[in-house]
Amino acid sequence: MKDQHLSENEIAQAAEFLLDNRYSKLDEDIRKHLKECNDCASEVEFMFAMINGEKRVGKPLPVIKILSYVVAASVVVALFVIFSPNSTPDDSQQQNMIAKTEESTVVDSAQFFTNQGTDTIDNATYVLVEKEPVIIDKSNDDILYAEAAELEKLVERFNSANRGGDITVLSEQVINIELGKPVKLTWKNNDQVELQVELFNNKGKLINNYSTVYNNIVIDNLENGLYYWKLINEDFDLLYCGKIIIKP
Amino acid sequence: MKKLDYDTLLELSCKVVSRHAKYNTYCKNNQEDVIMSVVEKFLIKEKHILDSFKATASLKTYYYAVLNRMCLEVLRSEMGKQNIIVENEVLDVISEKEISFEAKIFIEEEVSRLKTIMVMFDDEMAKTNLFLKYYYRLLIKIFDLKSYALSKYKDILFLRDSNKEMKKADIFNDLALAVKSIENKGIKGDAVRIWLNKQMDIIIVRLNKNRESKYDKDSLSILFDYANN
Repeated sequence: MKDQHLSENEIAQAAEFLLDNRYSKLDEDIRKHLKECNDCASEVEFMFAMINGEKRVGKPLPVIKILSYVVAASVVVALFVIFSPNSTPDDSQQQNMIAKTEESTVVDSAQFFTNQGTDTIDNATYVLVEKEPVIIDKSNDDILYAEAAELEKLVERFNSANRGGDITVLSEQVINIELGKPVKLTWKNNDQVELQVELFNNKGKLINNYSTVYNNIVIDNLENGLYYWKLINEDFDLLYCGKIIIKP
Repeated sequence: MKKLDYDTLLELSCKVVSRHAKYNTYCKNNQEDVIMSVVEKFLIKEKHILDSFKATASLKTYYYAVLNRMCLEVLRSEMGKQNIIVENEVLDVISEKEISFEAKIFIEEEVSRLKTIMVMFDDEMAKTNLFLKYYYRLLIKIFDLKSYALSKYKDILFLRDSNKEMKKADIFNDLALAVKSIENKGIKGDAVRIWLNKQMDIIIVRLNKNRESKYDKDSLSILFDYANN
């Protein structure tokens, strides 16, 4: 264990590990020190706030870099679609968030304090969206965000409220999310009835379908674009229809 | 390694100092002097700073860490000469009926700080979070139980059935039972009380560190409640 304070290198490293949500992977000696040293912990906390603030502001990447990332991402996605098994993650995903090491139990810090607006006891169902091999071209923004007429009508119908009875949707009707961030859809489901969530792209195509008895669902890995989601009960009644907009 | 040009050095120093100025009256009133002191300190030790960089983080973050430490040295040497009146800002803000936009930003920043401090409890984070929630009579989720107890979480489901009117002794006795179930340690409520008080003290010290704030157990409970809503 370290007796002296952490060096500036170590402070910077700890802050970046926090930023990348991989604090548990930081050198054990550093983590031990930060558990006990208020001075160093405060420095790391300050540093994290600084670089986190800068990350949010950010600057646009040069066009050539964007295109090279897009091409690389397309290749990876295409390979993933071709070679990976077709599987829908289940609640065991949540167990994966809790990683037990040999000596200690470490929880993924990103999972704490993530619930917003629900007042009932619940678990979150974390799911990954299977990516379609869509090439994102900045010049095709109109295509990415073009509205699907039929789904838009449904969204308008649920403009004022959902007709869920015991199910009340808490999410905003139009959810705007930054690319790379997860989308959380929430509702009140006190009786824990089985609900279906259907996710559509802006061409009206069903991308994915989830089943849950909980109060929310978190969808990850959505690309830039406009999406629609439907909440359906066990009688196949449509309870709600909303929109999700993913932008860089 | 490329030497930092003066303009960039000044820019980074300004960012660090202006952040401290948000929470430190002396820094706020003497921002330019503090910036120049920091820049001066940096230039004196520049070669050593450049030679010490290990690339375990990005260069920019490393510079921020160096400049922040220098800024803290400057402020510590000056703060001792100041007579500062500290108020309990969080309580004042949250107790207002209508919270302004600026206040909301402030609360969000404080919540973010609290979360960061909690993460640094490392392998004790889950236990601290759960025990604080139980102590403050906040809603406990299955996730909170699982994070602490893993596969044994069903043994401590009783923590979700608590009522709001419990006596402190009963709270700590329940938590001691949880420790016995999960960690196989036969400790009493008093030992849990001492441990949890220590954790709360650490959080409070870290929330108050390097700034003029006066968090105490009351304002911590409010902030913790906010963080969990």
